[in-house]
Amino acid sequence: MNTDEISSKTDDLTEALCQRIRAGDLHAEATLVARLQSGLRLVAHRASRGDFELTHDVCQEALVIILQRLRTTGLENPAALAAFAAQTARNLVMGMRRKAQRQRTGTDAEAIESAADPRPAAYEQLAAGTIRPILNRLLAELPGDRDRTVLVRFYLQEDNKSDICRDLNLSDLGFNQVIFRARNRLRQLLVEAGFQKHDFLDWEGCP
Amino acid sequence: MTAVLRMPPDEATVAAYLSHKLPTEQADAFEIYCLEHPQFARKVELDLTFKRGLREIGLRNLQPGPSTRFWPRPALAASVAAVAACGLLLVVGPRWRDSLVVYRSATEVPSALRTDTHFGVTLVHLRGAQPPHRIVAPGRNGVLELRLYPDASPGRQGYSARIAYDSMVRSRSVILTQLRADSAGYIEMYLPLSEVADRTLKITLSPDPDPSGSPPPAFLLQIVTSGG
Repeated sequence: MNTDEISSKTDDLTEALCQRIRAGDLHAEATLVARLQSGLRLVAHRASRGDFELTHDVCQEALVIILQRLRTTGLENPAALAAFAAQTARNLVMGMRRKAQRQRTGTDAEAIESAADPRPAAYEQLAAGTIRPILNRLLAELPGDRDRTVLVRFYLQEDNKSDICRDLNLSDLGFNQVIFRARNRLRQLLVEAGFQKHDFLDWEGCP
Repeated sequence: MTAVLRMPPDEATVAAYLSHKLPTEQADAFEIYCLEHPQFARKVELDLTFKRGLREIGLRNLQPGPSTRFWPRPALAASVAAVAACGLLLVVGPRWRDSLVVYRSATEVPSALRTDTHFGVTLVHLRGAQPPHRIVAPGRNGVLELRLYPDASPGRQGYSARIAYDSMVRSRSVILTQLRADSAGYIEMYLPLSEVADRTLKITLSPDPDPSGSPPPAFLLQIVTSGG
């Protein structure tokens, strides 16, 4: 199957889902939520410049809006559902920002900032507390320092893959294997820690 | 109108997206692809989780694996070696800066830093009180390779290093564990000049439990740039 055929099949699936939702099928709604959730979080995460709290709220709100629209009027072009979802999430981020700005009083913002508690917000502490032991365990399990260096340079220092491969004398395949293994292990550890597969960014929802 | 991606974005594109280096139009197209391909989106989320998690842990706290290429497996005692408390200096830096990053091996140093100035300093611990070692760096770009000779007993190899540095607010420190001396007895570490220039550092090396109970060797460094 070529990419056009795959794309056409995806469009057909989306159209069928939209029709089922319009007909009141609750399973179809659940399927749609599972399909869109990760993508919506990524959209909201970028639009909110990495604000995880806002990302969480926007994702929920966007799903409500999308489902309401599909239950009632539907979309003129169901194949454009992804674009509609993305734009909904971006608009929500902008709307929430504007709302927050309107709620500001005339108090000197700089003074508030300097007096603010410098510690991370509670949700950030919770998220950090959840993810740290998982990542520490993953890093401790790595077979060697080279894998650790690859992960640190690729994910933390954002070095180019080609630079890392050259410096560590790693082939393209070797690099991909390190990333693939680490990603799979992280997924496994997150699931073991109580995350659902669709909840990887939603650390607040973790037990 | 957002462009449409027909093929799954490659690792480089994913990395660029997560680093906010993709142009807006490409990033929009990337997100549409994610919304249409939930499995791919979850993979991207995992990468984002990885990035955020590593940032939370902080580079300085990352532990090497149980068997290492650059640092051999340390003795169990080394992993629990307590870092001796040491006096901190409070020479206030010119402005607030984030926490200090120290690299344990040359391969950990980001390539962008490696292409700039690289200069090395070797220090030998002398018994008794010492004035600060004043190091004149050629600039603020590049990396300082520090080789420390801890004046340790023969056969002693595993160390922890506590690097205390100044800040506007409070004394702060970085702890590096499971450091190994090379065959000549030196311990090496790499410090970005942009972060250590015009700062005063105190590096205290704590060896594996020492039966003699002698105080850990310490190095006092003052790093200034040739321009200032």
